[in-house]
Amino acid sequence: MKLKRFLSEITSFALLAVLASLVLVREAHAYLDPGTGSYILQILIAGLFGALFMLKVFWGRIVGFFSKSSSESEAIVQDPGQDMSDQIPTKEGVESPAPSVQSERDND
Amino acid sequence: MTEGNIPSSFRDPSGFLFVQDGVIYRQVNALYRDHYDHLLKSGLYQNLVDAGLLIAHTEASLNLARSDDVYEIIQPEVVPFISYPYEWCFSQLKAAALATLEIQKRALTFGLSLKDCSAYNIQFVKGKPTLIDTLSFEVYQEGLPWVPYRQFCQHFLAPLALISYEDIRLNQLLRVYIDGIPLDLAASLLPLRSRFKLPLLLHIHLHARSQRHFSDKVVDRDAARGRVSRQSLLGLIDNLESAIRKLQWSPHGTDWADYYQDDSYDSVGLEHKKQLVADFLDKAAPKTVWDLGGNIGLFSRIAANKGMQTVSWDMDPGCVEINYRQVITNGETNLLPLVLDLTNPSPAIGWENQERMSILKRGPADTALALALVHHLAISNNVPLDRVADFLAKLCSWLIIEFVPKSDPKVQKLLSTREDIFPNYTRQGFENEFSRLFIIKRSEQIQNSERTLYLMAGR
Repeated sequence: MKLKRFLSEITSFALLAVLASLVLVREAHAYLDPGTGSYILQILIAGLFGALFMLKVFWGRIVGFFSKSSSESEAIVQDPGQDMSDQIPTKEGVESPAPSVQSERDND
Repeated sequence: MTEGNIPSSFRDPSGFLFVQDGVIYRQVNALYRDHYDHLLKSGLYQNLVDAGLLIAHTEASLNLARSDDVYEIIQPEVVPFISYPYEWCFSQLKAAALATLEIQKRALTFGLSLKDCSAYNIQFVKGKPTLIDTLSFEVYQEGLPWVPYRQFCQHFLAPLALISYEDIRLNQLLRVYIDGIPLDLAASLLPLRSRFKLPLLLHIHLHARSQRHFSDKVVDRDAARGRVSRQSLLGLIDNLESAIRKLQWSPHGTDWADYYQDDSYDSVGLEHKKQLVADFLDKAAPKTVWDLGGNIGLFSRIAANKGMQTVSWDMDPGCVEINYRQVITNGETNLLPLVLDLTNPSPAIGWENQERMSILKRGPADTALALALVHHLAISNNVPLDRVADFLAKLCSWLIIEFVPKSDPKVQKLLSTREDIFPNYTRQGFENEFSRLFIIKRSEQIQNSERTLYLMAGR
């Protein structure tokens, strides 16, 4: 439990240190907005996820490029509409993700 | 169906649902005009409907308008049965979460965005999670944060994480917290190791802390404008999606075949029971069937395979999980497995106790199956037979019910640890109590067993 509390304090401190530098909020006098904390957190982490997502797409393209080259060399025909969402493994096979919009629109 | 405005549809000023002459309509208000037009003209509506992700609708006469600020009246396709997240198994909640994110991703490519992410907006239609609130979209304004982020975390991520990391029964918190599990509660219930998973650390633990820290402050929305780019929003959605996909739960003893073994019958008895259930269903000819205590859906499938809209209820979320996985594997379109404890069934909850309907309000079913159930209600739960009959008479018009006598090994087992205080639990006592409310049309003893199957019609 001590470790849990320590980690909790560390994360809390880190968050507050970043937040303290923001000028996004002002004191409320009459109205409590229950979404405020969610709003602020999202703004803070969105940049991180945007960068990660860009890397993921970039990496997907690199992998796609090489697998395509490899496939071509082996004269194996692949579906050109395949996108990243198809590469996410589904362990349970329970969800049936719909085909990506991009691949559908490519076919239009 | 009660005429007038539907009590679950009042928060969003974009429009509301109402019933007229037994038909459900949705009024689209004038203030939502631009968003509604964009949904249809952009092609998003058709894209989602084609993928089975959004309920289809037709336009109806404006003469049906309930107020002056009407823009359009639409008639949505009928949802066969309304179910709630606290009645779903893990994989149903997970599928609903992934469907919501898929809808958001598609919406963004058409210049729209979801403006709410309530799990109650998702219903299982033809076996697939489908958005039933056509007015959940708004024109996307790049730069603004995603408003329903908190709601998504509370309605989907928190319960899925709690089930995956702690206990399947924590899903029942959704019955207490109608707007999803509060993130501070989820954070306090989740184990320490959940903090080492980046998505859970951010979307639940830090999210909860951030909510607490800013609870007495408001956002300057103008200052927030431009802070979440489209790319960042896509990244956020992608991260939520991968977080949801990684959460897993399976019933104990993951070999499905071993999970449920009914040793109450030999093969002759089981085949005879199946044949009798099929015959009785043909006789009752229902459109809707509720299998009460349906286990993994062995008998529910007899009804579903006859084209009857079937809900298979069981109190064991493991059974419901296995049943739902079979629905997905087999591509079944008219069987809906759901979690329900008949001794404490889903109540009416929410504003004025009317937002979410009780199980009784959503009935009655044309026919109910109550197979190998009565002894659990009467002996395990001390419900007198007359009360069992009263409740079942409210749930259905026709009843296919099995009586399991005291001499049956299963009842003997239930009585082995307790005093027998059930002198009226006899076949005659059972028939007497049920005959008050039902006409016994047929009764057949199941071969090689002492159990009896009845077909009854409500009086």
